[in-house]
Amino acid sequence: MSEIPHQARGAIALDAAACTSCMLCVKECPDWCIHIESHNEEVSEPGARRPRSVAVLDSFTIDWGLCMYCGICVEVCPFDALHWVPEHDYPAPDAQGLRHGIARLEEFGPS
Amino acid sequence: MSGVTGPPGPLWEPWADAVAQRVAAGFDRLDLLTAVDRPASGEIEIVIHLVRRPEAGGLEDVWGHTLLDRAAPMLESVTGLLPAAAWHEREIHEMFGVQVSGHPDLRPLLLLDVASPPPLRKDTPLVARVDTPWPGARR
Ligand code: SF4
Ligand code: SF4
Repeated sequence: MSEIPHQARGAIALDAAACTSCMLCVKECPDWCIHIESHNEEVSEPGARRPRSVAVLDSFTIDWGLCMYCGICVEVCPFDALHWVPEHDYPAPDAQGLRHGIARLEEFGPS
Repeated sequence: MSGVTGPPGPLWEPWADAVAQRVAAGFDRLDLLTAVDRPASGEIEIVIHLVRRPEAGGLEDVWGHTLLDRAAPMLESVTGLLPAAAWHEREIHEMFGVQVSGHPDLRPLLLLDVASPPPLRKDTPLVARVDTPWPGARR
């Protein structure tokens, strides 16, 4: 079998540490297949006049059963938290199994 | 060319004759046959892409299109010339509500009920989309 080209659109991997829960990908996805839950936390830094509010990602789900691999989410992410990986072999016994959360999306790993 | 309509050049009319002419010139490989709904102009556009093999006169391709009346779209089948067009025409019939005259078998490919509004017409509501809350509205 021939090699899968490295730029193949196999899956979209998430770098959760880079994600700011800005929701741009969720809003731009034409298929509505990304769901994000997040909450805000106050961070006090020494020397800062008042605490900063940061968004903390609680869950990030892509539903591969809906995704059409258009790549719009990857394009719009301002923080490069999403990227293509060539891995394409992730079947599931039911539709629920095609909904991948943070852990699974991070497993796709860096390209 | 306004840019919103399909391939450049004059419309292929009458449709089946125009296709036959290209097939006779060696463009006998069907690459694409599909429709585009254009509600603003009240038309359904039919688009075809034909390829000529190198041994049939030199590798070359040709795009053709025609416009149908959206209110009562009627297309002549080209399956007699290009058997591979059969499923594409079935799809155009099923998804865009185009009548295809002279087609041997217009059974729907996917829908259980072709009487429902054609799903790929731009004004057909997608029920699942209407029922689902937009995930982007969360915040
Ligand atoms: S590739 Fe396209 S369809 Fe899939 S999650 Fe990204 S924006 Fe949505
Ligand atoms: S666009 Fe990027 S940073 Fe924003 S929510 Fe999506 S993955 Fe996270």
